[in-house]
Amino acid sequence: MRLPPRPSRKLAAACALAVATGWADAAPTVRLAAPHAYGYTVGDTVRHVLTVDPEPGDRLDMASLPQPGPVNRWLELRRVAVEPGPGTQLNIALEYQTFYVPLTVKTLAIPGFSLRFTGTTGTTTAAIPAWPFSVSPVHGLAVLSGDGLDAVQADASPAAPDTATPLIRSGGLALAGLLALAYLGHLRGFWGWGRRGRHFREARRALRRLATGGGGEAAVLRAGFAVVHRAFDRTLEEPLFAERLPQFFADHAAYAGMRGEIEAFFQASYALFFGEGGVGNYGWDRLENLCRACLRIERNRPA
Amino acid sequence: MNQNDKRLADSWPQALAFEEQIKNAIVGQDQAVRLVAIAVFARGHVLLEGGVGVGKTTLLRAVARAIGGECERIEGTIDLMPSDLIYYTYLDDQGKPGVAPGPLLRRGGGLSTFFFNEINRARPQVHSLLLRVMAERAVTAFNREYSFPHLQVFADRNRVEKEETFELPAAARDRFMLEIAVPTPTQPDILDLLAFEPRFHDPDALLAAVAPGVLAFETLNELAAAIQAGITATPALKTYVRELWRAASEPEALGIRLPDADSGDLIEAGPSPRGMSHLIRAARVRAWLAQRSHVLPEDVQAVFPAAMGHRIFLKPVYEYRRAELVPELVGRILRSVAAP
Repeated sequence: MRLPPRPSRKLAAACALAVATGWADAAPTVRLAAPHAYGYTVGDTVRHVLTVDPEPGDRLDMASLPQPGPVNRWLELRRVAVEPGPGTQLNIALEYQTFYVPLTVKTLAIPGFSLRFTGTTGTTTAAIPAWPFSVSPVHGLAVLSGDGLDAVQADASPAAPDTATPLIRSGGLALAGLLALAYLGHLRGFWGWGRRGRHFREARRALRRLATGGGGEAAVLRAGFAVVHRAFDRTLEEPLFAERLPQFFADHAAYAGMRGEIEAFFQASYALFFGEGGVGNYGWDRLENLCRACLRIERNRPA
Repeated sequence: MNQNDKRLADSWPQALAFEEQIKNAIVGQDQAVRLVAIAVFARGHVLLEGGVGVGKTTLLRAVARAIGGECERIEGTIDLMPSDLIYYTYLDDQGKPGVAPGPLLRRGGGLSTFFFNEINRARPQVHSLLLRVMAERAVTAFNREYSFPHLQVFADRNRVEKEETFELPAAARDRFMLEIAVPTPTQPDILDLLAFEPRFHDPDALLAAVAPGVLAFETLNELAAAIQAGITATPALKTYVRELWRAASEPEALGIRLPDADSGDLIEAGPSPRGMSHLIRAARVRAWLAQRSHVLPEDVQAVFPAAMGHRIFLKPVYEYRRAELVPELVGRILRSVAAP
């Protein structure tokens, strides 16, 4: 390796991040910026940046640049990039990769090369020196096959990640979340639509059951009245009494059309349960008709 | 129509006239007047509760005047002793000591209304004497027993002041058939009338407008008995009342809960059997006033707050919030129990 002969060039080289500077006779200044020269192992990359300041009139001969590809059996030049800098300056980036498998700490060197410039005064060259660096093994040599143990093998392939368990777990959590939401909905009464509008439907079924058991009996008639009372109670969501009927019709306008029949029902019921015990001409059929009419209202406009 | 029914039918206009006379003097208190009328025809003692100046005393004076008979009143004070109801001592013109009958004895058996003003200012000793008078309509004094067969006790309680007052014990409260709330009127026309109408500025003149003796007080006991005998309650109504009583005693058993109180630990004691009998007596009178021969659930509901509210005894921790909790509880009970 030849050092720059002039003190000014030495000074320039010292100021640079570069570890070495090369020059040729009246050659342009070349500064090499390189990373640390130790701690490498197989597969590592080394990036060199050459900063070139050509003499006025000189031009870099691109053919003198090293070509990407294997440099030797353990070194490959992966990339070469030339980018213009300020003025006539050029930045040449070189990316090497080492494939040397060291068994112990070993010093290697990236081979040097020359950059050629052509100018008005002819051709000049700038020599880029070899760049020494040390490589180290990634594992020790304590275990050897000679001791009857297995030789160092290539790393085992990583196991395929378990995708089934997280899937099952996510499904379980999603199900639990849905159940929790459903329960919350139950607490907040969101599922009320399932019960809405079924009070008179249930009452009608109950009346049918009672009728098949003998609709004319006094006890059955009383049970039928009670069934329809419960349907009104559930519609209002609290017991409905005769004195509260005006308020009931105000709050449940859909039933206002049945006002006369509903009032007659209450009148007959009060006479039956709290009065003389008779219902006059209010018979089982009228009770069923009332229930059916209320069921129609209920279906059209659920309470 | 049997004799009893005829008696009830004949008396009914008289009852309505009585109510109308009271309403002439007391405006904006129709509910209270109706409940007082119910108590009069059920022969039950009445506790009035309300703020200052809402017309409790005027109401009672109007009732006493319309009932007829002798009326006495006494003011509850912290130093009132039981003997003060029975006699007082004095020096006569010659300077000799004398003993004269007190307000209870002064009128003899003709005493029809006894008005105890601000009863919670009197001590428990006085309450005890009053209990006997209310329960037995009799008192022992001067080595003999005085009887007041037509006596009805009215007491009022100022609920604003709590200083130097003695709340009525549970047993005393239970003797009152109804506790009637006399609320402060809020309707603008009623307030204008009370504030600007000169007629309402002079209670004596106001009471003079009430026809005296609209009811013959000597006949009230017999009329009350006729009402109780003539107005029927069916098994369905009995079931309803039993359910109400259960709800008032164990509200949590029927799922009745107050939002800001633990119902499971709210009730110290529910209404007594005497309370239930008072409830039914009052409900029967309401049915009679509505010209019915049988009691409806609405009759029970109408008198339930006044008949039951003061008989629901809360745990001590809730007693201080009684005025807020009991009406809410009573309302929920009535909205929870169905009939038939």
